[in-house]
Amino acid sequence: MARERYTRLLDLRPRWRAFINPWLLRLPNNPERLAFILHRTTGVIASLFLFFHIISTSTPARAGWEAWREEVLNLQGLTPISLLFYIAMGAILFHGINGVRLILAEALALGIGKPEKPKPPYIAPLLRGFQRRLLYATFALWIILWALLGYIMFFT
Amino acid sequence: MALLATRTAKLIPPKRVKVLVRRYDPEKGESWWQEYEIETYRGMTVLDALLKIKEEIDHTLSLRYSCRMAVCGSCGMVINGTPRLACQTQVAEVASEANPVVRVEPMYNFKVIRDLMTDFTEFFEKHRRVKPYLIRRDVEEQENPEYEYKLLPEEYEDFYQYSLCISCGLCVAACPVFASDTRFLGPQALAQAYRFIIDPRDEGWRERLEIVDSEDGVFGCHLAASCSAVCPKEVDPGAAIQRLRSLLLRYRLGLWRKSVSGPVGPMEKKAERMPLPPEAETLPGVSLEELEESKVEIPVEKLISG
Amino acid sequence: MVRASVLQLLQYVTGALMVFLVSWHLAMRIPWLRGMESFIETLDATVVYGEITGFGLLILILAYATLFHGINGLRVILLELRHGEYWDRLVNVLALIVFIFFAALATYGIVGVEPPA
Repeated sequence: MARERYTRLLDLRPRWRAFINPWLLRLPNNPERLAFILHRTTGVIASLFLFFHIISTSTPARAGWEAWREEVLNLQGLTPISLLFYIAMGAILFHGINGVRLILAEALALGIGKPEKPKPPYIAPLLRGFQRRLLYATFALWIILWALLGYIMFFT
Repeated sequence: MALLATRTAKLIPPKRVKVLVRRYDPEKGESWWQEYEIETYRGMTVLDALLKIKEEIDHTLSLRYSCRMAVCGSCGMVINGTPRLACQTQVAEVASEANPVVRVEPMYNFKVIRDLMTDFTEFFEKHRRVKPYLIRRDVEEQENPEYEYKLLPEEYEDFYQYSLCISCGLCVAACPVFASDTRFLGPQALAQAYRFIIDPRDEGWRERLEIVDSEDGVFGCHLAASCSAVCPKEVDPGAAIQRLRSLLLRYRLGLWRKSVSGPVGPMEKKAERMPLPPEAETLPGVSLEELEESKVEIPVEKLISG
Repeated sequence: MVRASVLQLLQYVTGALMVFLVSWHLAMRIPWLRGMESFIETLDATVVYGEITGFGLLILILAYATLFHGINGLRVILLELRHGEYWDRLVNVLALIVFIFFAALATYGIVGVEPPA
């Protein structure tokens, strides 16, 4: 009986939107979620770039060095290809720098605080741990390195 | 989440607030936003506001609640976009004079039965799957114990925080992985798995490690830490999952073994009284033999008058 | 079936390896480190051929590690997005095929290269 009454249940799950939408929930004190979303999207961008990169760098073996020279010309100056390349570089940089933090926290359980008896103001140790400072450093380093890369790619 | 911040006590809510409730009627299969306007008072919680609406305006509004003091974990909802306990959230915290609106939705990642009530069947099923109880090889000893199991205070501190979980489901509602992957065990179940795996009194840790060793188990977590950010009891499921994962990887590499504690034996018997040295003398009029044999009694009138 | 913990351990190991290898790979494109004037010069045929012959094995290790890390990552995301027996099997098989194809292509790109004219 009870089951029959509840057969029609409403499903409000956001599904894949949770992977790309940082504004889905309003969560105070949680930049890790933004890092999670960026890590996912940059990971997908980096993987797709990797497939493209392997195809394009195998050109000398496949089609000879003349084809390679023509391909490289696409990267000179500000072209659609070089712009996409630059975006992929930014994705790889963030994924790599944030990856160091994730390896430390996930695989080695470092920087996530110690278990404690809850006390005011009730902020979880994970959100106060060293990984939080690493996260801010990640964002800062990412912006700096990406800008530097832009200078190298477009102004040299 | 700093839900009980001291400043909350001093906040005064706007005189009247608009309460927007996302409702759902299972008979018609319809979902809609309904607007109510109520008068507030100082210290009014969102649960108070919803109950006031149910009493005075709309009796058909359904919600689940019980203790009204953040102990039972029944009234989890998404309030103004943040998963929170309605009984622990004051109207003054989420609404202001400039924006006197409280938006209340059922928790995401759960199926909605009616209005603000969500279906916890799956949640408890997952909790049950990680065997959240002490497992001993000697079942007879566990069922009819003679002595207690040994547990040092520092071992206790390792898992005390995780044992505070009230199963309110807010962590699951906030989890971005759970949003699409319903097979994922979820922060609550994984934190409880860790709590029992590191408990020195538990011997079922191998079984539990096999259960969580899967893409839908502990490796489904990607450290978004939203669970720890919304937990009303500061249980910190995020950190528990990271510890569990690190422990599992070390166990697979043969770098971790658990030391299980057994029952503490009987206390040592009282030793014989040391004989008094021959030169010792008792007070005049006091006999040691009489004192040993007489029972300790405190006269009642002395207790009353004192 | 491979245990999830083994795959995830490999994911972390390849990730840690890539932090160093990708840094090196990107540093090869910084013109000042190599006494050149511009980014494009570091992509010159003779320079690239020198790299391929000099550090071929290192580049191949980088390619395999990156391919594993990337394809396993995509696989995990795809398995989270949808459920079903056939979908799971399809994703796993596809991941293996894509890995083998691109690993072969990367190997050919290093081994099969001839000196520039």
